[in-house]
Amino acid sequence: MSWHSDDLSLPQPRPADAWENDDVLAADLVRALTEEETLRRVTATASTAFRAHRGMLALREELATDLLLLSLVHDSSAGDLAAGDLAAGVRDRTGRPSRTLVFEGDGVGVEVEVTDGLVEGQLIPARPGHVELRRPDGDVARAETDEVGYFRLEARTAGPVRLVCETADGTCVTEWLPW
Amino acid sequence: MLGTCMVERHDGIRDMSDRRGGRAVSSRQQLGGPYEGRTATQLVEGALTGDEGSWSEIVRRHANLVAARVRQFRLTPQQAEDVAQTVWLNLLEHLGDLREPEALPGWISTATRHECIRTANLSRRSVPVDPTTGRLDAQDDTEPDSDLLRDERHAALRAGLAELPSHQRDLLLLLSTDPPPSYQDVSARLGIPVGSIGPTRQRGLARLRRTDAIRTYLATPAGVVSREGGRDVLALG
Repeated sequence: MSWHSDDLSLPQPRPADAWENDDVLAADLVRALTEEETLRRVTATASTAFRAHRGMLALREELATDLLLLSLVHDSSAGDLAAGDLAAGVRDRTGRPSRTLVFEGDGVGVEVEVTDGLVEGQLIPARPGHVELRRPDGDVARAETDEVGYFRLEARTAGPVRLVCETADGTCVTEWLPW
Repeated sequence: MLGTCMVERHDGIRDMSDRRGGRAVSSRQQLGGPYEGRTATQLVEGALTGDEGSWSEIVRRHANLVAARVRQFRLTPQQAEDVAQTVWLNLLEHLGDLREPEALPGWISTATRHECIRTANLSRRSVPVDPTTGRLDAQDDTEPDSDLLRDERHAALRAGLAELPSHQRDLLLLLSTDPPPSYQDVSARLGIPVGSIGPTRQRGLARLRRTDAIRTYLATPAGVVSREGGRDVLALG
């Protein structure tokens, strides 16, 4: 993949012959347009991200407290990232695809199980609180937990989301992640 | 050291960008100006204090890096958007912890790769299919050319498309979307009979081959254009 100036010093073959074929030319056109669209979206999402971040900073001001950031420590669908293990996703008892995520930080955490249209979760340690699922552009869903920190959100997530968990001990947020 | 490279490359890239066409170039020109010469440290400090211009410049310098990672995993534009947004959101939260702003390209590259792996795991839809034939599109496996050569080819194709009459351009654009529309959809959206889609596509592709952009591209030895310019931080990722 690496390139050196040497690679470019000789005339390179042009795809003139290959492009005589309609399907080859069309496929290259698809790639050219996809690439441009990808770059446009990559750049456009950054503005949304910036506004979301400023919004989170404003929330922190409002609460007059630090928001404890919880990092992803387990993802049932990811396998071992370091080993590049592309483990297959698991399914729940009903056979629907399900994904378990665990976020932790500084002795507290939250575990969620995500199925199509439903998020079930548990605050760790077990304690009552209020949770909000947020997209960069606003709330998706919110719920009170029961007295031992279990919660259930009916929400279909798309794109990166984060959970904001408020308890008597403080407020923590999970790192942004598409669920 | 990486930061220094980036700044130098940016100074030399402007003339090149003007000829390349595409939206990335116009945003580069709009967002350039006072931010273009700033160091990574200055930009990070600016972004942390809420200056969106500094943030946009950080993004501009690294968008190609993110796009290149995404390309390696063959993600769709929608998946790429989710990956990129996740990377930007988490980068903003870690921006204050990055002691060396020169570490930015490495951080972004690693974070993007991890998000791409996650996305690829969650989706079985990571192998592109040629929308016009429905066949698996495996040509990327055999493409030995560099990023620069591919960029040249893609820029020529987009410039050639821009030269086409609108009815042919619109059809080729629509047929190139992901996921590909059915001929019935195409017919409804463009107001043309299903039976004319195939012939119009064929004539459009034939005309594309004869556009100035494509003929110039095919007549110019590869590498001549490439050698003149840099590639943001892509080569450093």
